[in-house]
Amino acid sequence: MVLALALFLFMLPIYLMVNISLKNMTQIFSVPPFSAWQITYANYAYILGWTDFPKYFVNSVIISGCSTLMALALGVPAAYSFARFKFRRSEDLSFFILSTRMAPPIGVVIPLFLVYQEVGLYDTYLGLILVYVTLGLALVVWLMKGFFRNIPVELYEAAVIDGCSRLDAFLRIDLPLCAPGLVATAILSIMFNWNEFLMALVLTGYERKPLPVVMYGFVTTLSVDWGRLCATAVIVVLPIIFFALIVQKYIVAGLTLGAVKG
Amino acid sequence: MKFEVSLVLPCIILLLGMTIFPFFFCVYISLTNWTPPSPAGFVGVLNYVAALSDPVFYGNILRTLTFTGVGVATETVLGIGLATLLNRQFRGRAIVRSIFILPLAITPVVVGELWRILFHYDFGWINYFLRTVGVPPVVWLGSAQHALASCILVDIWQWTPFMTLVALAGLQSVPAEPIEAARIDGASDFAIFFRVTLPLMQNVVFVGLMFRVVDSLKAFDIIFALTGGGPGNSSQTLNLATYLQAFFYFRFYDSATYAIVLYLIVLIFTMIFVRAMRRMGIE
Repeated sequence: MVLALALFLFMLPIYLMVNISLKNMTQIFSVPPFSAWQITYANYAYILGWTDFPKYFVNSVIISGCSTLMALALGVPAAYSFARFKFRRSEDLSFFILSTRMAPPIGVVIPLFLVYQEVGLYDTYLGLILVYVTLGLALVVWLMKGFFRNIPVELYEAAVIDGCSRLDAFLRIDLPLCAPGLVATAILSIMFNWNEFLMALVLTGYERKPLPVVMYGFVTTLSVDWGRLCATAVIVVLPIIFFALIVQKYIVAGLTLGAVKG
Repeated sequence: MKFEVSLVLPCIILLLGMTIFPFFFCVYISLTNWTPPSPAGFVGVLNYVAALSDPVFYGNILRTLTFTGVGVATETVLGIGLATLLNRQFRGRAIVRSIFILPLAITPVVVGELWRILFHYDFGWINYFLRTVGVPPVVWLGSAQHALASCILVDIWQWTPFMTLVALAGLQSVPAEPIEAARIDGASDFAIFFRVTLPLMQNVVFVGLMFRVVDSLKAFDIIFALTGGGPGNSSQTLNLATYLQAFFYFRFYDSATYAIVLYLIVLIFTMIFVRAMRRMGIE
């Protein structure tokens, strides 16, 4: 039926990717593309045996993980404040946060590159993490704002009446109720950070570059190393899929929680 | 310091710190004729005036708007449609939903390369299928007529799952009572979907739509990997032009000018969206 067709169409390139990763160079461009071929694991062996690969994998993990954690730590309280309290200029401030996502990265990346060279943040974890937090905060704040808006205020008020401080009420009541939304936001953040390319390309060098930049190294002006590129791509995508499968029901439940009105 | 303000402050401080200098730097460069390594000379709004009389500039804006308009509209319609299909009960539903986000999870650079293979005139799978069916093969990436369309196709492939997820969440939040009431009152399935379900979903879908439009106006990775803006200028969008001017032609002043213009375009779109959302009661 329609769904099967849609699935087939959408999964075709994925199948291609796995397909290529298991072939050697001559077989990749055979015509017709479905003539018999043998599976070779040479590409994967090359990638996994490459002594530098764990370093870049760890880079990606540290950068994505820390960026997401920091974005959540800064953004969730802000979102809570925008959702619950009305204070002067709150609408303008929340629009300003949204506007940070509007800037085209290329315009921003050159001045950042220059500043980082001066300040010594080039090719460091902190440098790239700061940038990713800046980019991700808009998403975190606006998504969590929606989720917080849908938790009934009465619970918070009841806690405060019973003698809870405002901070305690936030930490013990509102935050746990928001767990699905929090997880959904975290997954989307991690996905964007894990795959981000342009900032990483410009702001990191040999030591701290994450996986997407490494993959681009397989694309040269002379030729594209298709087999190894796809093998790396499969390896790089696996952690994300792993997370997504585990958390899949949370994503939908989380977004749902944010959509119920009143 | 009021409690509610102190919750927001760390966030604002970081954002201000990280964005103030780049923003003013960018504006300043757009007012000069900086071509490294020569020093920058102040030229005022000359770059903007020059851009206004440059047909390539208008072409870039048109291509950007086309890319976003066609792409996001298709993604939204397909996304909502697929979401309704995925909302029904069937075996393996959880797994199907999980693998459906795969296009979103693959690094855009790799997506670009994969589709370059698919689009290849001689060895590509798409033309192979076309030849088998008897349709003449198409020059996807190498011709000026089809380059932009190919980029839009890949964008739709990659981002429809995003809108599907958002629409699915919206669908799952729609309460059953209004739909049952409409059905009891004799409304057709068609009418129920367009008059009851869709409006109830609009909060979630609208936020997703807004983020998608903003990201699409700034789309870079896919177009860069697929065509690099070519052949000629036929698939060059404003963001791509910003990159090319800076790193290809070293005309940093043009890069900054285009970046500011793109920022203004995105700003206008976002303001329209936020106003509409406030009026619709979502905000």
